[in-house]
Amino acid sequence: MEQTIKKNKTKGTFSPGKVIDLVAQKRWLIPLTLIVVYVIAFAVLYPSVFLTKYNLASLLLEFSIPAFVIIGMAIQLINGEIDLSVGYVVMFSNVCVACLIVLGVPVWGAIAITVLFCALIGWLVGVLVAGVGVNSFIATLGSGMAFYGLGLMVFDYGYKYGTNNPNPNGLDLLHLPDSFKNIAQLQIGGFQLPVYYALAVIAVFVVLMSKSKYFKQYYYIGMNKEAAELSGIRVKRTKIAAFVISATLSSLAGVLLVARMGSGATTLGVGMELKAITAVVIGGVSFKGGRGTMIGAVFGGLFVYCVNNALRITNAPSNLYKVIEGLILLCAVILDAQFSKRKIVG
Amino acid sequence: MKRQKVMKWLALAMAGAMTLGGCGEAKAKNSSSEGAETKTEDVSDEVYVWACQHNSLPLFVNNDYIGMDLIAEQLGVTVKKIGPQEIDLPAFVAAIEQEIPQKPDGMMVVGWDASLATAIDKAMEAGIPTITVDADVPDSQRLCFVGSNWYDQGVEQAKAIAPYLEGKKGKAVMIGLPGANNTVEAANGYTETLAKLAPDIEVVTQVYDAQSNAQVVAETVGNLLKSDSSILAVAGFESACGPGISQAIKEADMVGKVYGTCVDAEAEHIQCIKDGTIVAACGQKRHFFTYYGVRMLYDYKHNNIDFTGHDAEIGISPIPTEVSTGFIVVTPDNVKYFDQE
Repeated sequence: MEQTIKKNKTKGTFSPGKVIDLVAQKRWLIPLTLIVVYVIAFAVLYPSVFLTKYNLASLLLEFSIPAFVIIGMAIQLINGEIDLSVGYVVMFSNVCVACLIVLGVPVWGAIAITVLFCALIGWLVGVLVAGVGVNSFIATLGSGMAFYGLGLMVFDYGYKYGTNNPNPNGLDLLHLPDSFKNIAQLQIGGFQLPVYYALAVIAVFVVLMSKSKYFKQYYYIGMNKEAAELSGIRVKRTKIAAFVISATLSSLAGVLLVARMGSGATTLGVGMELKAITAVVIGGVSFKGGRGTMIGAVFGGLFVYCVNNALRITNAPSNLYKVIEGLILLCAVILDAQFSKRKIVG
Repeated sequence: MKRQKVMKWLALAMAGAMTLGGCGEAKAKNSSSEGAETKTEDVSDEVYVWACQHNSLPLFVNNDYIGMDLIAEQLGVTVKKIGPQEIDLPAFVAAIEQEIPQKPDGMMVVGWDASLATAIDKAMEAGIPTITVDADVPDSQRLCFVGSNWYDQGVEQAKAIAPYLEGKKGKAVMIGLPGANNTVEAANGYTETLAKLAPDIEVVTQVYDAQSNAQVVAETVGNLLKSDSSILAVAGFESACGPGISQAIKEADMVGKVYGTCVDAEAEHIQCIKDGTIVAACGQKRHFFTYYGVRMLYDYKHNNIDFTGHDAEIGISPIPTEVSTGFIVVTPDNVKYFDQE
């Protein structure tokens, strides 16, 4: 049952109710506050460990590539859908681009082919969901499995090719050229390039989701698809576009991941969808659709990686990580349910 | 008078000799007491790190953990474990990188993948002595590798399977972790040795991906056996392979027709030998990985051997670059000695 809360209009009055209302409206404040608390606490308690270039650069690098996937997932959840294929798209993209490079395709050509292929599959899945009416949970689970199987086939082919046709330059799936690795391994100001790419992509999508008329449509569709349709929004096309965006961003993440690692691997990216979902829910994006902000999703993602960093610095046993992550997700879901009940009027 | 002079000089000479002897003795005492101080040096605040992903595998818990606990107790140091619980390379790399500011006294990295080279190099550049254990990352700046010689692993498996393939014509397939250097080395050893011992057997070049999962191995090998009746041997280069290969051979009803060999000799691998599906389990002496790994790092830090007097300046390492820990080959002939009961 929704609680209808009347806004307290008395100026200058501070009340817990006001604070809760503020947080309910701007849920990105929760992960942001937690990040600020974490930074201050660890800067004070572990200054020689936390405030080092290794630690900060590693933390931001660890977050930067999944940030692409988090942005795609946020759009999908706001849109009222879900995309469980993102991790498998990352996996497929990493082995596909590596394989194409080993086969002799120029680096930028290999990247373009990989990303375009994934975007095309994303479009097909979008058509299945928005056009045919297949549930996005099932559709993306299926497409994810297909991407995974395809990725394994591509890796086997590429590995066999590399073994049977030794490259005079020593290139194979496990030894990719510097011209490709430099896309992710070069540093500027002590931070590897993916950090800057992530900043750019985050900035673009934060602005688009908050200012662009087109992207704001995802909120209306997520809140009420039928009403959005009646108001003139082209729901099907817009939904299909979301799947294309999600697949494209995940594919870019896969390319960056293999460039960063320097070798293709069938394990890279698998499971990333769960972290992405955790991140966006912590950031205030609602499972029900129509709510949440891109900046909240980004803060949620950054918070997840801050928690990992905190556990490492405090030497917590590694089997505690998943427990903590699960508890954080549960808390976020409970908060989401509670805040969703509050309808602010006035 | 003359006699008194002689006596006087004799007395002086004796006093001088006693004095010199006493100094020498004192110096020797000082030296031995310096040695005693070195031996009783407080190292309780020294921390050595073992970095591995999927690090709570029973294989690690039953072997590597024991080795590191033993050496930690013996030396009086602390050995810490870092890394993700699951197979997650980016998280593994991040764990290594984020350990650097904690400035451990040394780090052992299990070389799951060549991509760990960057993280290992960062640790070395930060002044943390870093070695690889179990599987190597040869493209990195690591100081030493402690583990099995994986080329020899492949050789041992080929030597074990060769008698079963005598006079037969067919194929042998391999399964492991294609991305790992140890699998590449083992595959080379197996292929080259079998080419000499069983020249009528074609070793399929491609190494299939075990994904560290026995079920995946069973499905992959099962599919291979069903699709190609010329396969006579399967070699596994990852711990999950033995049980997976065994299951596949049994399910395909090929016991006695297709033979498997595998790495590691844990209880589940021993059982496969008793089942008749695996003819050799080449067990690694895993306790040694971490035991000698910590030992190497400790010796690097407390080095007493200097070849030139300027070793540190000119980059001469005080520890070996490779410590080969050997194998224990379990076969149907000796399996009774390895009965876990």
